[in-house]
Amino acid sequence: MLSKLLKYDGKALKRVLLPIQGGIIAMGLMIALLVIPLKSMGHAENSVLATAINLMLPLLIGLCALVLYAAVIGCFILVIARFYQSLIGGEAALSHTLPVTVDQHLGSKIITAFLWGALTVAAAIVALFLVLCTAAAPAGSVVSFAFVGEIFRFLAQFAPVWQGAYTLALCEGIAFILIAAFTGLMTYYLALVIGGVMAKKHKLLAGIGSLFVINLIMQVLSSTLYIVCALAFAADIKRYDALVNGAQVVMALQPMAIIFLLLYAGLGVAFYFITRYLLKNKLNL
Amino acid sequence: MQPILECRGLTKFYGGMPALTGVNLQIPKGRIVGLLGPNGSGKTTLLKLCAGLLTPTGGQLLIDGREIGVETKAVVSYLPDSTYLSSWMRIQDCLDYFADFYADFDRRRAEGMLELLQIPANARMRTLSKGTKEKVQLVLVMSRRAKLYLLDEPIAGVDPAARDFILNTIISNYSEDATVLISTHLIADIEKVLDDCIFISHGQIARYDAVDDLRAQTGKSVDEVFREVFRC
Repeated sequence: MLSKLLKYDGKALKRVLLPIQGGIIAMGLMIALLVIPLKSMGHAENSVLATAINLMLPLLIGLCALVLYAAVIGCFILVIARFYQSLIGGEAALSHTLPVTVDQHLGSKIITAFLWGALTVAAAIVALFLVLCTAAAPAGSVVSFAFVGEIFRFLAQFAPVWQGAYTLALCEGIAFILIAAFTGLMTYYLALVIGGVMAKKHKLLAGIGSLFVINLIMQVLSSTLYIVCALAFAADIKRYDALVNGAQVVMALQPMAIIFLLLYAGLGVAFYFITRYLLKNKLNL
Repeated sequence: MQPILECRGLTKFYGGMPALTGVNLQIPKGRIVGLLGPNGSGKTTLLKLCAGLLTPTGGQLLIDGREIGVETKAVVSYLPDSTYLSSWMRIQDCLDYFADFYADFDRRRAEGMLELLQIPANARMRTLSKGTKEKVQLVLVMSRRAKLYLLDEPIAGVDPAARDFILNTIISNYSEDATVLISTHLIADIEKVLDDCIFISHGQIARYDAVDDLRAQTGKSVDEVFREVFRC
């Protein structure tokens, strides 16, 4: 049944998100092609137009980055809207009368959110890559991929300083991104379900109110924990200069990193089980 | 024989407001039962509890001897009183959806009924009129070979000709060992298809009789008895 739910959740999102992702890549390609003539015009000496173009180019690239960011946020909003429509809103009667468990419903929504989120981020990266291929090209070149090497060189310079801790920091960073994404998603799902359970009318408004409260609680928890950790571990961290003793700094930060990873993982799991309990036992459609 | 639907002290409160209080009910298999009551009497609440869309505040509810869950949802076919299909879906997609999730869905029967109604399978739900959407939903629900059909106001908001079609669909498409529970306050139209009737008022069962027995006892139609019982 999970695969069937994934099929229909995917179908519902595909019809909106695929065009957005296609649009993002097309926009990247369009700006990349637009940059070529603008750059050559910008190289003309003693030209007011050249000055204006040289001012406009970074703005254009900045605008492109903003649009990509908005598209990723838009994807997130659509994923949340799909959850609401399917499990709390107009299609809830259809969803909840299916011979399907609550875990399967939630699993489908979470997997679909991650898949489409990853695809949208990938589309944004492709668009940015296309723009940088022309925008970052040196004078005399139309297209250049040198910026890729520069990015890797920048990241690699820390490796000999941080040594083994570099890999650890990288892995922890990736783990944190995934855990934070899961917990963030579950925060919104839980808020919407609380709104749906608490309110007979204005469920969405109640959900937004619940989101505010949950975020407030999370902020208080993480801020309190941060202060406690900072007081407990500050002496160890301050001892080292990250650029010289990066490995020691990373190791000194380990207790704090693990505590926060566990906090967010724990919150995500807790939110999942609370959402599950409410949908299973407190549903009122 | 085990009843298809059994309520033991079933209670439902919305906040402090009682919707159902201490409902005790046993509905046998193979009957077409009318759930009759005025607006706000608890008909939709009872149907939604049986469909698993609401959680009881108290008491017990069993479908074919089981608590409400995945297994009961596989044998219960529910028609809500409003549109619940995705507006972006084509009718073909809805047929695929029901075929995917319900092992008892008879696709050929559904396609035959849609053809009879001259509703094209590639039409999008959002392009259909309210009445046509309701017909599509009814076709999907009645095309399942379920043990219990829960129909919430299936003939409200449709024209008289469509009402006849709906009633004929109900009679001709359910199997004889299945039970159909129809909630309505349009009794005159539905009376002719009913085997039993349940009168519900203020969240409690006022009366549960076979239609023939009711007529024999009172000498009146069900509609007339209803008007007497629920006179304002």
